[in-house]
Parts: sequence; structure tokens; C-alpha cells
Amino acid sequence: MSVKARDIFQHAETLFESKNCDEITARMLINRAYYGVYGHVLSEVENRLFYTIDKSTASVHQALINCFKTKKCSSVDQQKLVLKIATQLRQARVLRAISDYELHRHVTSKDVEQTIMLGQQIFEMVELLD
Amino acid sequence: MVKAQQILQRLNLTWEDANQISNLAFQLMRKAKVRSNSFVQTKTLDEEFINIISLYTDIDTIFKLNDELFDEVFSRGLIDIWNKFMCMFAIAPIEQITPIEV
Repeated sequence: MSVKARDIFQHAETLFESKNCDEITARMLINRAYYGVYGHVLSEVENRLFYTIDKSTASVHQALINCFKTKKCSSVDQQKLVLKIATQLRQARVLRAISDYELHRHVTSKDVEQTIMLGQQIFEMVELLD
Repeated sequence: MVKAQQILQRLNLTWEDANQISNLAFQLMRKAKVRSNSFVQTKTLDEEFINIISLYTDIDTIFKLNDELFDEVFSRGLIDIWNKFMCMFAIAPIEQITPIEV
């Protein structure tokens, strides 16, 4: 594989200029940033953390979120971290769903900024998981 | 309203459950003295119901409020509700500000 999910996220970060970001660019960047995060977290779950993913769940995105929602940890700190990752994945997913499917809604550079910051925080938090 | 009630029922939630989360969100918003655009977007995704509260503020305040809301939910043991019904803050598009007529 020549490209990693995190490269997709970083590419969106690099392309983002808040003062020069029209709506169509904003929607595209949110999509790329989200999929970079989704792919990276999925890879960590499958290759390092070995959390259980319920493959029978209709949506792969929901399945990834659910594996963080239902994960039981031995320490309160790790439990809170896992649930916070689930929460921030949900927030990023909502922003992505709006930018991809709800064309009547107004999407701005601020939504891109929020998605990118969510991604940065998710990357940092996933690193802290045992 | 009826549709929202149907979704809550499907998620095995009551209005009281949803209000616990919503009230926390609005309390934090008022405490921070941040103005909302009075327009809560709702989003249903698979097994979740999400309220998006748009605020006229900066990105750092949005993250601070979202973090505070999660911390409150966690410390009050409301995670089971939160996992089905979540509120999140986002930045309101500046175009949505209603001009004041003088």
C-alpha cells in the first residue's frame, strides 16, 4: 500500500486555507479528512488494539463507533478516553454526512476546521490507548 | 414532534432522557454566554439521534463546550443515554445572522 489513511487526512489539512475555501472545497475537505480519520482508526482497531467489531452492523462507520462505545476498560481514564473517541468520531461523522448528503445546508470553512481539529484530537487519543 | 418521539421510542429513550442531555448542553451554553442561532439541527444516523446546536463563536469555544459537555455526561453517569442521544456544538454560518432592522 503506497498511501496510508493518515496521508489522506494530512492532504486535506495541507489543502485547507480558511480564507480561500469555497463551499464545494469545504465539502470535499471534510469528506477527505473524515475518511482519513476513519481509515486510520479502523487500522488501529484491527491491527493494534484488537477491539471486537460487529460486522453484522449495517453501517461500517457505525460498527467502528460501536466498538468504542461498548469497549470495557479496566481503568476509569482509559474508559473515558475510549468513550471520548467514540463521541468525537460521531461528531466527525455527522459533519461528513451533512457535507456529503445535505446540499441545502450551508457548509463553511469553520466546519472544515472543526473536522480537522476533531481528527487531530482523535489521532492523539488513539495513541494513548493501551 | 411526533417523528422525534418515534425515533426516541425506537432507541428506547424517553423525553426525560433526551432532556437531561439537552438541558446540560443549554446550561453550558448559557454559562459561557455564547449566542445560539436558535436553530437546532437534528440528525438521525443508524442507532443515534444527534442535536447540533449552532453557536456564534470561535472554534476554540466550540471545542471547550463540547469537551465540557462530554465531561459532565461522563461524571453524571449519563453515557448510556449519550450513546444514543448526543448534542454537539458547531459554528453557526455567519450568513444565518438575522439582520436587525432599525
